[in-house]
Amino acid sequence: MFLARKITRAKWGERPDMPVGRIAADAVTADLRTQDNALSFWRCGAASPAEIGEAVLALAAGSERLDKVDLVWVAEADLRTDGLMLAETSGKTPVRSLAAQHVDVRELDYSRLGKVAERVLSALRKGCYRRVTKGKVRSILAGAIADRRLQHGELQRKVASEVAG
Amino acid sequence: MVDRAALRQVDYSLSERVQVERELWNAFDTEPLEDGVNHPAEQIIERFVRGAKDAPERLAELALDETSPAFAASVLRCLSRVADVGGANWRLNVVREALASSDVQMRDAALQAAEEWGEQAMRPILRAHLSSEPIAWLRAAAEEVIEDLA
Repeated sequence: MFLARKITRAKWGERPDMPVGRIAADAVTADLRTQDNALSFWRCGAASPAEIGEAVLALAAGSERLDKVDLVWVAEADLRTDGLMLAETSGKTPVRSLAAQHVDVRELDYSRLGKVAERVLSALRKGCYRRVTKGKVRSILAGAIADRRLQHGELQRKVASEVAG
Repeated sequence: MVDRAALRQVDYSLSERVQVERELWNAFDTEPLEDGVNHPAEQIIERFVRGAKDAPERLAELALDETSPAFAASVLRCLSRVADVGGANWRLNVVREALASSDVQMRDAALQAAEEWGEQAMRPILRAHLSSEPIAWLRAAAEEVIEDLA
């Protein structure tokens, strides 16, 4: 089973100023910013396109603005092998059916955060990544509203104005 | 004969640009730009656009500055979040020039700006870029944006 997290794909690319396999500090400080020493992930099952769509829905529905989503998914088992502490917590999304799919990787320190970064890089190399364009994110949100999984009024103002009610 | 009035204008403009650049650096230092999240730099840009006629040109200089690609990419992404900045030709040129960058963050920012500004005229620019884009995931993303803009 996989856990998905939003990243900025371009920060994890190969760079002319950095040897292959090294992780840019910008990637870690921007994309793996912890709060209370925890990082937020969403369960995405076997990472099928439909399951990835659900993770995107959970993230986008709680966003302040409508943007593309870069999603990477890492194996839950790998994180456990690394000795990382996983805890199911209620996710900050208005899609109630998805709130329970949220997982925090907790009690992170400098060394453990590095392990997460290594797993993210490894996942990207294996192709465990998907960019969902802004247009597709809009369609996913509109679909959830049409299916009555989400109400238009539950979206934040900027997002609501870009998604048909 | 030195045109002192013009010199004063240049001095003022330069200091203003430096001030805005500093504010933007501080804003991105304090808080990296993140998809789906508002950023204080948007307000700095909006204020500058409202207050200075040549703001688009100055902001374009920052957004296309290859000496600081991460900063430039952040500026471009924020620029595209601000409604009504520059004219259509200005927007097309900024996207075209950023796509020509050797830095993947700047090319990705250009792609996102094209999508955010949402103009059909971006499609030929993105299509022209496809054959020269060396990064597979960015090429795939550009193809999707071209479809979405149709």
